[in-house]
Amino acid sequence: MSKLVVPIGPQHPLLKEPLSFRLTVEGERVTESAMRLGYVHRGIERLCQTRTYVQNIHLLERVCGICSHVHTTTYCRAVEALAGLELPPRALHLRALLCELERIHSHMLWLGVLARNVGFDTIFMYAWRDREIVLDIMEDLSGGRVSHAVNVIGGVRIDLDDAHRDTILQQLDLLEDQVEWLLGVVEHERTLQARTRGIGVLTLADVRRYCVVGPVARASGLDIDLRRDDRQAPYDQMHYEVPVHDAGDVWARTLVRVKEAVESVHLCRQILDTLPAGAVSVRAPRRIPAGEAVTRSEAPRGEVIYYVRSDGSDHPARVKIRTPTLTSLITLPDQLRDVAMADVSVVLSGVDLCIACADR
Amino acid sequence: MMALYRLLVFPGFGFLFVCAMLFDWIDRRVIARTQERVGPPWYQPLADFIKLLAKEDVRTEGVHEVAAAGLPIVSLASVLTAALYVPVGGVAAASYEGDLIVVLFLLSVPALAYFLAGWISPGVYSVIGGHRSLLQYFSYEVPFMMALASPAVLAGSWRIMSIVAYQGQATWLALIQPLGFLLAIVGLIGKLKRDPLDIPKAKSEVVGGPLTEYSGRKMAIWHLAMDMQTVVGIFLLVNLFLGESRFLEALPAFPVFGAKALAILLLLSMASALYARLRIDQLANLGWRVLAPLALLQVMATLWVGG
Amino acid sequence: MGEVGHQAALGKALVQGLRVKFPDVSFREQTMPVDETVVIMPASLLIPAVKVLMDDLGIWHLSTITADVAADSGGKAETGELIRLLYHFWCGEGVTLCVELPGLSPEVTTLTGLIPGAAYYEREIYEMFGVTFDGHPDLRPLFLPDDWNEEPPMRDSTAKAAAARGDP
Repeated sequence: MSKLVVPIGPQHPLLKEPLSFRLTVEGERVTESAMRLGYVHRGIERLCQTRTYVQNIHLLERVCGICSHVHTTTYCRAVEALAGLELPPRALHLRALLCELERIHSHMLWLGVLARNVGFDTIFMYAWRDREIVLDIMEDLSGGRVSHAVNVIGGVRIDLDDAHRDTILQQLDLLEDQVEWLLGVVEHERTLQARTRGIGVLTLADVRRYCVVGPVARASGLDIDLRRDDRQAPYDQMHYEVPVHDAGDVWARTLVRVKEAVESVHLCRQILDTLPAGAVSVRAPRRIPAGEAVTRSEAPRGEVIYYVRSDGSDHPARVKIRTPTLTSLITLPDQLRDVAMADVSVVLSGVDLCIACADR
Repeated sequence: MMALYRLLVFPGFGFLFVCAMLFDWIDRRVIARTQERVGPPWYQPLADFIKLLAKEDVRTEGVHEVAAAGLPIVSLASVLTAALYVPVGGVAAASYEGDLIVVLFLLSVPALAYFLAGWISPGVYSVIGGHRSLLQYFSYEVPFMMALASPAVLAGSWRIMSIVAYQGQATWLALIQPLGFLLAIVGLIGKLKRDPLDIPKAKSEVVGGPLTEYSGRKMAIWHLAMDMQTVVGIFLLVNLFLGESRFLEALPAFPVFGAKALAILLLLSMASALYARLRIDQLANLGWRVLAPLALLQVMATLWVGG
Repeated sequence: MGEVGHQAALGKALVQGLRVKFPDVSFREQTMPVDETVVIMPASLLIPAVKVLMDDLGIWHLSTITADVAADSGGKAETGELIRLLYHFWCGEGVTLCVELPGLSPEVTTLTGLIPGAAYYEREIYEMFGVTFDGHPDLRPLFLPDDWNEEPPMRDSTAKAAAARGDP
């Protein structure tokens, strides 16, 4: 069988964002893979140094389309730590509400993309129809479906009254039914399992070696979740489960993500039920005192870590971002070794790539 | 004069063209409704065809131009020729002993042309798609042929009209040979390269498969050939498995035939909506380990009972 | 802040372990928000310290490696600006190991021998700051284009040159 070099990307129907693979294929088997990143590298870390702290919120929201809120949340927490600000609990609840809604949105979007890539358009349509419910909730809350601009240094800029909260709770009821139905499909539908079981297996040892985070790690048996492990407010007062699976294949990742979406719906309800009264932000200084801070958050794809150093002016001296997709990308050469050509799309979908996040 | 009418209007090219557009629309509409979408309006397939005719015909470097232009035409021509012998509501352009074999042979030609389209193209996706289409062909064709041979064996004739008439005496062969009917449906899905067996042209894997480099008029002919193959395939199955019936003799033949064809189309559309795409090795497994033995079982049972 | 204060037990254990194993090496301990223990050490102590973290304390998760230009450098002619590398670890609480490298030709031993997951972080620092990692299996640019022939983009010297040119 002759060797062919198949290019996947930078433009390919499979990829939502540009990423380049050169796969050496013999027949239907992939023998080698070479990956090239950087197509969406915008130099955001460098750009942060040329903007004020407030302008950087606008910039950092655009690191990623799907996890925009968690990026600004982590950044704002770092800056607030440097400035010594203590946030009102209502602000923390509202931030967490949007984080969870974003998580549901991200997982629904991903499920649709996975289904489309295995030729199961029906699940794609259903998942994206249910995603619309989440997008409507987020739009009512913040004015934007995907890019919310909710965070300010010192809190959030949105608020809810009781009527609005009740509306959201009703929409969450509907969403819960839909997401649980999708979970049932993923658990029982045999053609989906035939395409995703046993593909792209990462063992617990692999996941530890590569320091993988997020649903990919949890699907291989690693029980990590920053919301729970870091005891971040308001998660320390909530009851929720962290789904973990030990198969380590794409089907396990699917299960973990959809179960996480179900848990996030429960979390949203708890956040809304326990929403404390009070202000939604505190006044932040323009110049942030000199110092450095490290913050971590649980984004939909895993741990996102920010390092911010201030030199006392109103421009940050250094902002370092590490997004969870980078930890998944490093496992791809292993996952793509000796895999069938048809499974390439499944493997690439399974790690939930967000290349804009990884490249910054 | 009558022959010309039969060739060009009914049940020839004109009728088939209208049916191809109609079936494509119904298929897309049914799939859309299962996915909670609205679906395209009735003129969409026709609009797509006209649009493709108007698009630029990209000439790929390194491809033999005559071959590239000839393959879709050969595909269309073989489907149209096969259609001559497939009766519609009891009316066929021609009919003679052995025409079932001719139809089966002619309906295999598009698959070969499809593979060749991938073979002659220098693009990587086309070559891989071509390989897959050939592997797929070998996986479904044997069970399909055997499943379609069983009605002929039972009816004692290789003439489609006779098989239809035989069912008028007995009953629908779908009821007598349900296994064969099921195998024929699965084989037809493979032949038409519909989801879940659209492996050679899986968009997320091989972009467009053998037809990646095609566009414009040639693509329009390819699409037309594939749509017409759907129609002819469904008509063939209706004739062989849902033929004449004593209970429906009073009703006019043509609408009854149409209803049966639509029923099979509905089956095909639901199969598209309800399943994920198979992998080529899963299909090969399925074809040779499940479908072929079952088809053999069907043929042997028919021989034992009928002979 | 509303967050429960951590006891920084792991950070203390690390410092304890390092002081016991390497009594004649000077290193400093700080805390950084949010509840992160920082241990500043010479570059030669980095790999042994990571071994202490992994073998004795069971911490193996490297969040990332941050490279930064040290705040008060830039004036020293013999070393140029100082580059700080911060290795952020996480195991229920954050522990950061900090090493400082001279800016003229900064190099440090790679961490990929112990933690293969450090590979991409080191590649990024290599291309952005020009730090060489000895023993890295595949040290080449990660994000920058193949035909990038300018200075490492994150160095202050590059930034100053860009500002002088009028670029952002």
